[in-house]
Amino acid sequence: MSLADKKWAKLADEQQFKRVENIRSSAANWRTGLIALTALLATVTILKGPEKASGLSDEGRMLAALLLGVALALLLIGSLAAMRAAFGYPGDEHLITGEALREWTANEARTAKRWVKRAVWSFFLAVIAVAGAVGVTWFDGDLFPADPAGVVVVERHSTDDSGETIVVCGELRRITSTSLILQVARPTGERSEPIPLDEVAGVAIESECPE
Amino acid sequence: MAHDSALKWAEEDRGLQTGFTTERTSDTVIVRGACPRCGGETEWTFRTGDMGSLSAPAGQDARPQTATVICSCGSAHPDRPADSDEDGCGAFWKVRFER
Repeated sequence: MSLADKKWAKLADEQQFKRVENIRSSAANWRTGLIALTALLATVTILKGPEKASGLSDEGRMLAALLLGVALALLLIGSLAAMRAAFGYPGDEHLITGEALREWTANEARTAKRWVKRAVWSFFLAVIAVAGAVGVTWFDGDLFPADPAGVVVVERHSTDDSGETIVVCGELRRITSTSLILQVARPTGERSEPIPLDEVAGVAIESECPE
Repeated sequence: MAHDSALKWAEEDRGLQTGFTTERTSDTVIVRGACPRCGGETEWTFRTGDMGSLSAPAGQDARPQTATVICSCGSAHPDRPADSDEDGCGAFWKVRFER
């Protein structure tokens, strides 16, 4: 027992004069913090509008959205952790003695330190997540290369009597009741080429035309 | 022990004391008894309040077993510092609460 015990006892006794002031101060601080969180939500929602991601692949868009969602969650958690460290939570009613106040102060100091660490880690992880989302938008083409458009390779009976087949390759435009219509690249340029169905010996879909 | 109101003010630690009565209400514990130093009748009130997330360890009574009480006999003891807001002889001690 020491003079410190007396100081704590006096401090505990003074709390009776600060009850309303304390809870109102805490409420005001939490209100300010929650308004800041609302502004954060609005800002992130505007920044990650879908039109910004329209040029991305499906995979890139999903990954960027996931990373931004994680970043937003981490920022919210970090902000709440910092607010918890700064303002504390209102708690239950307890008998306030010097000893209880002393114990509470020691516990609260340790708890606040833990919440500050959580806030800092959440912030850094959120920055990493945002950087990841930006990276996805920059390197979407490398990360998720688009599949090349398939081409149709048609083996066509020769129109003469040689019995040979000719290979015609191009993008399938449409099929009619009498023919396949391919968009074929020729030395003179691309042109639409109908192939009568009765001349078709075989059809295959390949990633590119044979040499 | 008669009240010695002429006793000079001093911050004297009287350790754990017994013989005090405690009166509980819904939000207070009032400790009454004679100051072990000056002998004046002292009354000290502990009040409930919000201390944030403080909670008692599981299975234990939330109320403390012992608490510090300061003499509040009501006398203006000599040599009391001008900036002191105490109304006793300056002594303090601990009392044990009944569970």
